[in-house]
Amino acid sequence: MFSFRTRVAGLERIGWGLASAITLGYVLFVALLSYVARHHPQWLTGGGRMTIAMGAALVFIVAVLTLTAAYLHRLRRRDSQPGGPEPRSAPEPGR
Amino acid sequence: MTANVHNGIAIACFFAVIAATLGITWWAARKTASRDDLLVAGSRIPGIHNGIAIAGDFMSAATFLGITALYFTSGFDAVIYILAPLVAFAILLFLIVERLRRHGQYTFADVICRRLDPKPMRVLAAICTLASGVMYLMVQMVGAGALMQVLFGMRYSHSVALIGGLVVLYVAVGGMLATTWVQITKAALLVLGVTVLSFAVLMRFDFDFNLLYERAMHVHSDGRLLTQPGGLQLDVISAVSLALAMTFGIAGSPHILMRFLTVPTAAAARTSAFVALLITSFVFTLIFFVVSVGGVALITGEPAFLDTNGKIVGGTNMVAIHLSQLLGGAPFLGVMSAVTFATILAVVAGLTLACTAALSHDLFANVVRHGRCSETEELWASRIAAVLVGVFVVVLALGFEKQNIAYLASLALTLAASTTFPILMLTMYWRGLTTRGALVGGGAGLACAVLLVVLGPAVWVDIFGFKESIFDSPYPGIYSIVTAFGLSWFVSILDRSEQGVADRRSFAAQGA
Repeated sequence: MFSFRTRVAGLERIGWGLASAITLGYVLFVALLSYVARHHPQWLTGGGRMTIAMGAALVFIVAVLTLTAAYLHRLRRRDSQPGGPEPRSAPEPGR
Repeated sequence: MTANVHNGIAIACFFAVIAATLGITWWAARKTASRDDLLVAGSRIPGIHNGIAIAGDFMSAATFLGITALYFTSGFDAVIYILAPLVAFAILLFLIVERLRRHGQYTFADVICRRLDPKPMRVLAAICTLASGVMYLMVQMVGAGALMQVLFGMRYSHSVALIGGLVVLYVAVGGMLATTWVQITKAALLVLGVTVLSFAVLMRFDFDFNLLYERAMHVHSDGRLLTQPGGLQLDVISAVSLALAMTFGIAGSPHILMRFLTVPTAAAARTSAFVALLITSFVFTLIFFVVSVGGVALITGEPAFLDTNGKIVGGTNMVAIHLSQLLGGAPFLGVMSAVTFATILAVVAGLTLACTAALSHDLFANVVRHGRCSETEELWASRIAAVLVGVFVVVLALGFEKQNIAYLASLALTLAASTTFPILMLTMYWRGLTTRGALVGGGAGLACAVLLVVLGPAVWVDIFGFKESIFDSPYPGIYSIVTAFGLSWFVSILDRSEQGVADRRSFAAQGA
């Protein structure tokens, strides 16, 4: 059956997926920008005042905010269900 | 060269900031009676307040003044610095803060020591915290001293001593509660200041973005770079290396991690991360898309802000300050200068507190006194540590006044990315990590980062004066991060010691 532990693991997997996707998206964006600027600058000539690169940066910011808000919402729903959040383990004395 | 020497409003705002922060410290001191209070404000800070404080802790004067300056000179490539913190806060929210809050007490080392051998790991964690913290503090103090000279006409030595003295007072007397409210005040001032500045820029161009960008591209020496990449002239490896060091460095910064231990629950820690992400996104978006472009459009070639050599008065770091003077006259200049001063105080306070906790809790209480330290002893050890850190950093800042120490900022982030971040992530998520693996990986990451920065152009050429650097790139993050993760993994899988077996077994006991 779908136990609480499984749901935590499921949500954690989503967290890993989102964190990886955002990090990879950022690194690829930065790599692509430097590659194009160095090797194919002609691709960047012309265009409007708000270029594709600027638009992509804005989209990235909005995407990160939306994804984190959605994830936070899911976690809140998990915490409000019976069983609630996982118990907090107190740090061991002297460690 | 001083912008505010005769600006009464700036002086009034300057003293208002000092009075407000001292008032906060006096109020906080009455509520700070225990070790818990001093180091983590009794873990009673609400999530939203903590999120605002984290934003205040993270956004240094370098973000406000430095990013505007970077856009002024290198254009769109400043986007690398804008997006990295957002990715870092997302990583913190998705993967780190919940477990950190659940298993940590005063420092991130508490989390690591729950499953690995506490003594050597505490020593390594303290070394990492102190190394990156002191480097970052030096950059802040030397930059602050120079900035205060320009902003308020104060002598460098007086500025450094004043900031050091105030911060020691906040940390030693008011502890985390005072630091938190200083950071909240600063974050509020910064958000307000940047919003008003952005509004003023847009008003000057009738709220027409096209007009703003057209004007900026027209007056800039290479207008194309304002909306397109290429200004920093980074090769792909260097760009990726910088991006990774920034992201993992922020996510692994001990002073940021420590803030998540000041809230009562894991849920509040998540809320903190999200609020910090929201505020940082808002401020950075305005700085990047409006304030920086306004700086180029309105300050470039403006005779009032050029010195006799045709350079910007006070350097390009002053573009945002000049912009506030141009748009709002002396009153706005005074307010923005005070915002910058508050920014410096808040960041230095956060860093000092993290170094203090590493010295008193990790090293003194748990290594020197083997965890048998009374609460009162640790409380006083923390206060003494705060004074020692403050004095040490002031002395260093005075000694390095004329030195170019910009490389220390990237080194501090690279160190956190190559030591704290890998060890923390592997401790939390990889069953196979052993004490031996963490020590070798973390130590190698630290050594690799320091060595490659020293052999790189920022130190080998700019400081030592050699013609060519031994290591090409000024951004060694990708190598030191891979070294730290790789060696932690490799040594751990080879580790057949009794301690290694115990370390693996304790992963399950650690729980989620």
